[in-house]
Amino acid sequence: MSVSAKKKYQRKCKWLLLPSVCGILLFYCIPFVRVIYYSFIENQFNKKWVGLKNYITLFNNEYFRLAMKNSLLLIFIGVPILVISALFLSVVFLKLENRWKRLRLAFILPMLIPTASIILVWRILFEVNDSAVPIYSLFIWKNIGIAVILCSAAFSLLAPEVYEAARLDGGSGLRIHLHITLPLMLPTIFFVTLLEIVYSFRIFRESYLYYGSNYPPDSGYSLQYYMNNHFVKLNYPYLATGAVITTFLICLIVAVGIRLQRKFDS
Amino acid sequence: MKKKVRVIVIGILAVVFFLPVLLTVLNSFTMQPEVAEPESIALWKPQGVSLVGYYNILVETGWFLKGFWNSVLYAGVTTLLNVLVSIPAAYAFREAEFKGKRALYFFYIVLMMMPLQVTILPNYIGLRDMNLLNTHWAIILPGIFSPFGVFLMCQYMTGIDRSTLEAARLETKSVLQILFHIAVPQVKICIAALFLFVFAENWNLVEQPQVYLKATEKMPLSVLLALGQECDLLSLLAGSVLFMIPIVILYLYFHEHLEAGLGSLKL
Amino acid sequence: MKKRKYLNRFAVLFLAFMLFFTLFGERLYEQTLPKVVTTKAKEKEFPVTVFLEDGTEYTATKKELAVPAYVLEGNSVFVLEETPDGYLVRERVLELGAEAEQWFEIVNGLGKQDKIVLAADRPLKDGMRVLRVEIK
Repeated sequence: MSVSAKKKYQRKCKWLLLPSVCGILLFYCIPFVRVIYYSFIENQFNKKWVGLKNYITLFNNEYFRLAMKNSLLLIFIGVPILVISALFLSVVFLKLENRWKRLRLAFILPMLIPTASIILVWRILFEVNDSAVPIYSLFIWKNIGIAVILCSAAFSLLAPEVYEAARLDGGSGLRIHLHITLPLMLPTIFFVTLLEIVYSFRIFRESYLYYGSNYPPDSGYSLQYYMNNHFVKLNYPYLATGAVITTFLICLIVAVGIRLQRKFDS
Repeated sequence: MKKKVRVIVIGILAVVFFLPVLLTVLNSFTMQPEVAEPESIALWKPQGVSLVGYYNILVETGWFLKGFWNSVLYAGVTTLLNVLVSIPAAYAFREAEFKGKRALYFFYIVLMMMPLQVTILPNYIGLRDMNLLNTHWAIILPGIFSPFGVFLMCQYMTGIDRSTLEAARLETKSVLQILFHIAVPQVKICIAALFLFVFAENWNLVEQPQVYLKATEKMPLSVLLALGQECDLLSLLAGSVLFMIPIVILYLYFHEHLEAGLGSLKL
Repeated sequence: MKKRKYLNRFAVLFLAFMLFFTLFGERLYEQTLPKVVTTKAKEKEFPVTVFLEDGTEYTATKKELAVPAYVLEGNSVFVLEETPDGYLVRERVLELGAEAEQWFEIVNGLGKQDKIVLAADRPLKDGMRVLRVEIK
């Protein structure tokens, strides 16, 4: 096909993005500019420009620091536990017959079940106290399903010939896994990790329903609680500041993730 | 690992995973007194079987059914429109080349990863300025443009055969025709999976209705069941089971499609 | 596939189930409520003894709000309370005064417009939801 025709085609294609981009601009972007504006003013009533004062206050606030710590803890401890468990489970499922493989899809059921339905039982199973266990277990329970499915799909794509060749070359089981499986699975592992980081933010919903109040015990107090409380108190500047900081954090994580993946792609 | 060991491991884990669901379902069929105190839910042997909870929640409370149909409305409409918007967008991301495509894609990913708390404020302000607060649209509109659908569709679109697209390009100049007649049928299965995921997300909205809506008659069941109403535990359990059923039905319809098309997953 | 058939049937059943309760739930509920007939307090003439200055007794009558004996349970009656969802009954303790022809004078506790439960098809409790029935 000629180059110019292809270019024309590509130009036409981009218009397909129009509805999506329009909606996002309208509902997310343009209001987000307002949010950034809010983070730089003192008070939504007198609208005095205070520059970075809000940010400095926030970083010095012990509640914000606690919230940040809890959120980051979940990302750096909870997500690895989840990903490793998912990998382990996928391996366990690997060589089973199809009949048992169906069960794998059933692990995703916790993710689909609405939170409200489960919270009641969860509160009974776990005492509501200051440990982080109920929230972590809720997180793992809910989100391991999709990770297992993604990992399993990736595992099934690994060509068996590579393994044959490696075995002929005389490698032991573990060495094969380390040197061949792992690098091949790396893109998927990255993707799953990133996805689970997304979900680690979403666990706020479950945590909120579980604790049933705006002020959970210290181990459960995450960034979203901080922002939610400010929202409830209509404290827009602090909320906006928190939102901008969280946005930065996420941009950082995504950028690092993409860069790492591009590097391993080659 | 030997096969038997694997089966046992899976079996135990499956039981553990299903336990919360199982408990909810089993206990929703017990009789009133046993469930009066949360601690006394008979964890292993429900005492007595009765439909009292179900009767209560369906007949005696007015809010349950109203909330149920609200949820159906929100989840159904939002999911349909989201899928309709996301498919062309994903196709465009795959096929079109333009300046800033990478940046836009990055933006979509970042937006998708945002915790709700960050996006709720801009949404709230936007809806307030458009005078849409406390209407059904307040929930539906932001949901339509959620970038998760676009992202998922992008992953699935990588599975489309390039050659068929090339062939189609020789046949017609209309991009829309190519999209609908060639691309979509190939990813039909994936669209089903997308529908399931987005529906599950929208069936379970909790923060958005609380912020954008004020009237209890417009609240979806996901909020009412968890936070809204004073009701005895047994009826709440029954309501939870009823609330779970639609999503389980959808899952049973589409679960074979979940794995299809999950090829190489790239960011 | 067999499974699909069962699934379809179940889905349709569930939908019909929910629709049924949505449309007929109200009616079903009303069937189960206690039915009550109400009346209002009436003014009756009660004899009043007045002592005049010169010491003579003078018996006259005055009109006071009264309730018939058969609505009373001890000292209390059930009063109909209207809510957006329907009617409730509330138990109210009355201060009773004189009695004339099986009607008791109300000193305190009831207003002229209050609807009192005359009869119900089952024993009532305070706060119960009821269905009001009119006798033609």
